Amino acid sequence: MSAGNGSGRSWGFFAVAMLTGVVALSFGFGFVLLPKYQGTQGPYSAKDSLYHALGLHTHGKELGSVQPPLKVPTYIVWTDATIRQAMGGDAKRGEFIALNCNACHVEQAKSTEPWIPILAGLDRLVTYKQLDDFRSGTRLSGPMSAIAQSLTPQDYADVAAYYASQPGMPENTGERMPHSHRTYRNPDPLQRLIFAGDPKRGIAACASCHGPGGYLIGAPALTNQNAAYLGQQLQAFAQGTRANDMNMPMRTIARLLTPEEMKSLASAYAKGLAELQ
Amino acid sequence: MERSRLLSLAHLWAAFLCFLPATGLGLWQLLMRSPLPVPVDDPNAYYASLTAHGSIMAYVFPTLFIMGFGYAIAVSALGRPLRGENWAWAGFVLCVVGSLMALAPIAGGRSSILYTFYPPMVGNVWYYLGVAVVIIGSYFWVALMLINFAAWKRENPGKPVPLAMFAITTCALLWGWTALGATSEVVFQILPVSLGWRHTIDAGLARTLFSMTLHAIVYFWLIPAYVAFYTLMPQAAGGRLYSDTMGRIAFVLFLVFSIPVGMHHLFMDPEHGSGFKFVHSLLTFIVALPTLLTVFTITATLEIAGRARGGKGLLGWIRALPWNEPMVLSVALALLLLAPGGFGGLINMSYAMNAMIHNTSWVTAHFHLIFGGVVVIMYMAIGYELWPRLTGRPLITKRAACVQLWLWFWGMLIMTVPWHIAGLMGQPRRYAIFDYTDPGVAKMAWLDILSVVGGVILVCSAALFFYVLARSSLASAAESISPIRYALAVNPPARVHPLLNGFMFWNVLLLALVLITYGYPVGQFFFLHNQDAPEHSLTREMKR
Amino acid sequence: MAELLNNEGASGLIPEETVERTERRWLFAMATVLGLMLAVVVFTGVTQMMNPLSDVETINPATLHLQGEFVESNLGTAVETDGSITLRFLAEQYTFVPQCAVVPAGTLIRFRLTSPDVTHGFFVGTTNTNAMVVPGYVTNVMARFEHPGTYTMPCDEFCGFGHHAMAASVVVVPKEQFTKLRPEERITTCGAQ
Repeated sequence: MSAGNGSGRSWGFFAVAMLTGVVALSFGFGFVLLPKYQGTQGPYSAKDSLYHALGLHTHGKELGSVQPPLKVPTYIVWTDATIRQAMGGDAKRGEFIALNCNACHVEQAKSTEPWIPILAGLDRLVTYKQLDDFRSGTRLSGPMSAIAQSLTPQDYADVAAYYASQPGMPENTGERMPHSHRTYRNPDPLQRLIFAGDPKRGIAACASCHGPGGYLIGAPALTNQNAAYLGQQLQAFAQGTRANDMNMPMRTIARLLTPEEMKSLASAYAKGLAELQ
Repeated sequence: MERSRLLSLAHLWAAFLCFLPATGLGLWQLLMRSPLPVPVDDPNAYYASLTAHGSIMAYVFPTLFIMGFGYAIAVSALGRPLRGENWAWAGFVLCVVGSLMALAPIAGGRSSILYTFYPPMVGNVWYYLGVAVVIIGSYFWVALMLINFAAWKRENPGKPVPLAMFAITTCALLWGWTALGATSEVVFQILPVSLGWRHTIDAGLARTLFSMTLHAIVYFWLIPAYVAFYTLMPQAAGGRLYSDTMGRIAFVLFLVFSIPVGMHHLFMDPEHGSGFKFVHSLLTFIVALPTLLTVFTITATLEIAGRARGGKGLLGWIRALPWNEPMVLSVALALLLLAPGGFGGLINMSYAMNAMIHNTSWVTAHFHLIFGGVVVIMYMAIGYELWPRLTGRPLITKRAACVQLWLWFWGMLIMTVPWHIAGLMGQPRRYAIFDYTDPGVAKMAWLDILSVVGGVILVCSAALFFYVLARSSLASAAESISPIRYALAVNPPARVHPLLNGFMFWNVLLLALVLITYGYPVGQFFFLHNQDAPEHSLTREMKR
Repeated sequence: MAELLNNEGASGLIPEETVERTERRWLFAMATVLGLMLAVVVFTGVTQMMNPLSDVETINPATLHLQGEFVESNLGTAVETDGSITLRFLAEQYTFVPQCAVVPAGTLIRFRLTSPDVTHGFFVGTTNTNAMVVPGYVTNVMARFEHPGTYTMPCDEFCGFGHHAMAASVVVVPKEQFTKLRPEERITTCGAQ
């Protein structure tokens, strides 16, 4: 390894030879020797070893388990096209369509029928999806199914645009200012559940999707919503009677809550979380 | 010479000015994760802080520091003014502007995606633009290092390029190559999505491109520390470098083997087969070699200095070393931290052992120990070494500098050793808060509290570091400060083998190796179907 | 003596052959150590099937709920025709679905996970079953749990603001107990109120 004496070609050749050897060794181990013994049914042939090492084997198709009957939670897929349509509504036209909705969702929602949700201020994507789910029957509710079936997707978008423009529930953006008392240090178990979740049970913080402080597409803001409605929906998710949550997050989480917790959460969000802060 | 000094000084000031608050953020984060009380206890704030801390410590602080150090070497080792100084200033401005661009949305809570920004989670467009601008600024530095290197060689045909310049140019070249991975990911995949032109992204391809940068960047950070090992420490210790040739070989090995190992960060990923994962794993064993070589050469160098100072016996030379020299102390402390840090690295790169600790706190503890410990302690010592030469004012005290380095050493150990243990116990990483009422988590409470203690010591050390440098800058100008002298080797080579004096050959080998090890892994994504994932933002960026 | 060494005339203090010889010995020693570690990696790979996951399977993350292997009725523990177990989870913001699953001890279990949204990770606490879940791809990992018990399975890759509360449970029961469970009991027996 002394400086200067060997000819350029011989040291260079040595370097290339060493490198080639190392590379050959690594490929030999990685594609020939090691994958041979990775099969669960005995050693692979050379071709299968190579395929396995390249990742070309797949196991999704060959699994033989019987597929239980298909249950689709929602027909909405959050493609860019869907999002653009849902966001592209005309609020003025929506106001006209909403004249029919307001009878329940505005006048009555706040007074005698607290299990009718308030829609004012709701995220457009949420309104659009729920209407589509009512139409397709993936979300069941007596009057809403018929009503939704009489509307077109453009109608949903317009109605959604209208309600989103109305003052009511706060916009859920994933709030950007930090706050205190949103960890497990908070002595109030309800606040802990809302802002920090309960990892012992595997329950995510409500706020991490529903706000304040988190955002997930399709997850409605809950602040200032009707308490009875919220409590009822949580129960429905827990029992599986409401099943339109895409990929089951709400059904999974709601089943882990106690009935008392559901009531307290609903009540806390309905009061606007102000008293908790 | 005057403007070049200002150039290096500006880079180092900028680097340390963002380093200090970032350590403060780190301490707050440690407190959040612990059972102790802490202000602003909001998990969202933690993730924003973590993004800022990681982005500063990984992309801004080391880049600016290395650029400044590189310019200082180019001037002092080559003994001539820097060519293209105006371009260097332009690069510096880009780095500063880019950093501010990237930090603004993080501070606004709109880009809490962490410094690894794995898609399809997307943050604010200004974050990615900022990071891209920082990288562009750093490329000005890469080009200037190469240009100055080549110019000196042309004017000094046949002579060995001074080791310090050879090494830092290796560093620049390595960065130039490796940054292409993350830059491709940002430019071709992420920016189109965050600008709204596209709405889906192949997360597997993104992670793979990022992995091309993710490992080699740590060698980009590490090589300047080794430059100090090889060329500054022997001088400060009053000795000689054991072997100039082995130094060059080590740096060349880093250049060739740092990038084609990146997929060891993807061992647990579903988008690659085990074949290439193993290839990268084996090459990672090889990239451990230059560090092992360095440990030997540097220890031998320390021994020479110790014996020259009268040390006798098997270990008596250790005591004879000038421990009041920050540069010597930092090298010894760095080597002591390198032992557990390197050991952890060997575990991470062995697949079977990695499976136990992947994405647990062990990983976080490891890179804090090896980067925050070994590398940053050397950056601090380099800072002490350069400061008098750049400011024209002596360091107010070497004693405070040594105390500061000891504090950093102990703080880093106290912070990371419990953290490693917590990882082995199964503590997942990137958690803002832990529920200590869970008995399984409660077992780790004391570990997290110990880490806080370590963090407090580190913040004090960082503040002291800043204080020493700031006060020294305000001291009155000295009579004359001796210029930087780079160490001589025990047997200084009159001529150096052309392969150890230039890079063309190694560039070709590097390219070939990257093609062989990443060609199929990257290429396969263009033949897979159906894998594009819709973008997801943590904050709602669409108008309601 | 210190000045002497910084002086040009002090070159050759240690003969170049000595330097070369000692460096070469160290290089061989280190290469041997690394080679031994590599041999252990290869050995455990061959004899213990300790290898990284290897099947590259793509899947459209946006339509998981509509069609294919990860529709909701197909999640959780499934007993294959050959007696092995397939355990399918979805990893999503911020829960695993199902949140809890029962598997038999001492049986080969094929974990299959994917995500409809962002990158997650998972590890079955105190074991080395540990992998990433990347949307667009199916993670396929083999495991065998010898010791019955309840294992926490946290998410170990940052997936958003709710990352720190995202955890599933894997309940390992003795084989005989498992065979007595009805399919719906493999999920509902744990965690529900």
